Formats: sequence, structure tokens, C-alpha cells
Amino acid sequence: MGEGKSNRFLTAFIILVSVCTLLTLAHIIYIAAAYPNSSIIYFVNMEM
Amino acid sequence: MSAKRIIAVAAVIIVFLSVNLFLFFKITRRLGNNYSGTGQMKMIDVSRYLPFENDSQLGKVESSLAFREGDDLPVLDGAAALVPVYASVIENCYPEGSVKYEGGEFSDDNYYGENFSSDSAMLYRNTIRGFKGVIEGTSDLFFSAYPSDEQLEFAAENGVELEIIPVGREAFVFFVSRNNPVEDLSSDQIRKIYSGEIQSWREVGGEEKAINPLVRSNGSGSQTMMEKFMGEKKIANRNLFAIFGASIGYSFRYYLSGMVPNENVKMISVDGIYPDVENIKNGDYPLSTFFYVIYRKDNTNPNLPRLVDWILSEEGQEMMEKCGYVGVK
Repeated sequence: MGEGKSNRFLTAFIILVSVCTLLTLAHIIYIAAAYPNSSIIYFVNMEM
Repeated sequence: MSAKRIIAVAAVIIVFLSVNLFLFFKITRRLGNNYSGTGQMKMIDVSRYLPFENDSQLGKVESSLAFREGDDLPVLDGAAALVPVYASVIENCYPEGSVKYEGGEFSDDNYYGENFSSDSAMLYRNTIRGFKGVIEGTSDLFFSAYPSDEQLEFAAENGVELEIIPVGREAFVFFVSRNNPVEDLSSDQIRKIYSGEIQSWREVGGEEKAINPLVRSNGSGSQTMMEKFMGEKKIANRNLFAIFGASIGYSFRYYLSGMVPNENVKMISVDGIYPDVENIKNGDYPLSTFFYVIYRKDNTNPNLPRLVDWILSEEGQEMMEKCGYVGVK
């Protein structure tokens, strides 16, 4: 029973890491697509 | 759930959240407003420069040229930076009712001249599409920086000969964030920055930060000007990690200071000369440049040469200065 719980946790953990990785990849892809098309004045204006 | 598992789950969430928040604050929030062409066009509110509106920001003069309703009115189009100039030409020389602005919602299919009806004497399609328009004959007179080699080739391929006449002076300017301590760069330093030979602000008197040299899309007026400025040197490909550094960009003076003013952006001096009207006028600013009217040599509209003559007249040049630009005479 303990092993079953452990497997369930491992599966859930892998799903969590996968989802987070996919979301981060999507974020990076958005940046890669948007960056070359963005207004350079606005980009500098928002620089901190 | 054991403490170890809770810590593992929390650690994963915190790590990914931190990475994404870092990317968001460093980059994404600076792009969000500008992903599409629509977003970029919204930065110029063309409705601020519509002729015959009381609150339009146009240069008005006593004009001796006054077209009438029913005349063959030359259709004007131009680059974003020159909207105030050609809108002012219409304000001074065209009859009321000749501009038909339809407004409408901005969308990805409607972000240039589609906001004017097809029989309007004023269009706004910006450099790339507007230049094609004058070649294809959908406008008569196009206001722009000097066309790029590709644009001139496009004209030649279509068998079109062009008149390209300088009508005003502008300055090609470089800008950085207000927080950047650098106030001046030499032409040579700028060329080295864009060719990748200088990569840190420290090398030009600034902080220990990577330089992020921003470029514009091919065919735009400022990109054509930049390529000319670089001469023999090639603009290097973007360094992926420089995006986290402090940026430098380029534009035309009036576009940056008058049309889309941003309080966090500052123009820098080049070779020790600041790009103000005085320094452009007296020729001290090294990157002063002309802007032009462009039209097909085979255009038979009799009012076209009259209009060009007026733009180059004392009245037209006075209008230019009232718009915030510098005349050629």
C-alpha cells in the first residue's frame, strides 16, 4: 500500500514538473515570436 | 503527505514560478503591447493628425495654393513619422471633406490605410505598404525617408521611374533608457556596438551591463537609414542573452520626441552633438538626413507638380517648421 502511494506521488510529481516545463516553454516561445515584432521604443521605455 | 514531499512540490513550483516571473518582468511585459502589427500601429494615434479637425496638431500657414472640390486631388500617403507633415499639407491646400477617415477598430487586418476610405485624399499605410502603393498607383505622393535598395529594385522591376525630392530635414537619432548614464556615443562606437565589437556599456563609459542593440524590421525607414549609417560594417545577429542587458535603439527625432513620446526614453548625443532643431538646422548634428516626397514620373495629375512646388515654397517650408520638422531651405 505504501508503495502504491509512493508511485501515485511520483506520477503526480512528474505531471507537475511536465506541466511547469511546458508552460515555461510556451512562455519562451511567445517571447521568441514577439520580440522581433515589438516596438523598440516601447521596449526601451519599459526597461527598469 | 510527508514533509519531504511537500518540500519537493513547493520547490518545483517556486523554481518554475521564479523563472517565469523573471522572464515576465525582464522581457514579456515589454512586448505585450506590441506583439502584432496592430499593437505597433496603435502607438501612433492618427486621429490626432486629421486635417480639418479643431484639435488636430498640424502646422497651419497662410496658403496661396487652395485646391477646390472637384479638382483632381493628389492622394497623399506616407511613413508614420511624416503623418503630421502630409496631413498639414492637406489642411493647408485641400478642400474640407477631402479626407474620409472611417476610424474603426484596429485589428490585424486593419492597421494601416484601411482606416481611410478608398476615395480619401489622405491615406496612412506607413513605409513598406505605402511605398508599394505609390508604385501600384493607389496614391500619388508618398512622404518617406529615402527608399531602401529593395524598394528601388521593386520599382525597377515594375518598370516605374520615380521622382524623389527632398522636402525637409530630420535627424536619425539613437536612444537609451532614461536610467542609462550614457549621454553620448561616437559614430564609431555605435557602429562597433551594432557590429558586435563592443558588447558592454562599460566599454563606452557606462555600467557593467550587456548592450542590447535593437533593430527594426527590414524596409522600414529607420532600418534603411541604419544600414546606410553602418556602411561597410554588417549589423550582427542578436545575441540571445543581451536581451537581459540595457538596450539601445534608433529612430527619427520627431517620431521619438513628438509622435510617440516616452518619458523613460532619452535621445543621446552623437559625436558630442545633441539632435535638437538648432543642431539639425545648422548641420552640426552628424546624422541629419532629408526626408522626401516620392512620385511616379509618369503621373499625369496636373496638381501634383503644383503641390510639390508649394511644399518647397516659403509657405510649405514654414508649415514644415510649424509641424516640428526642419525645412530644406
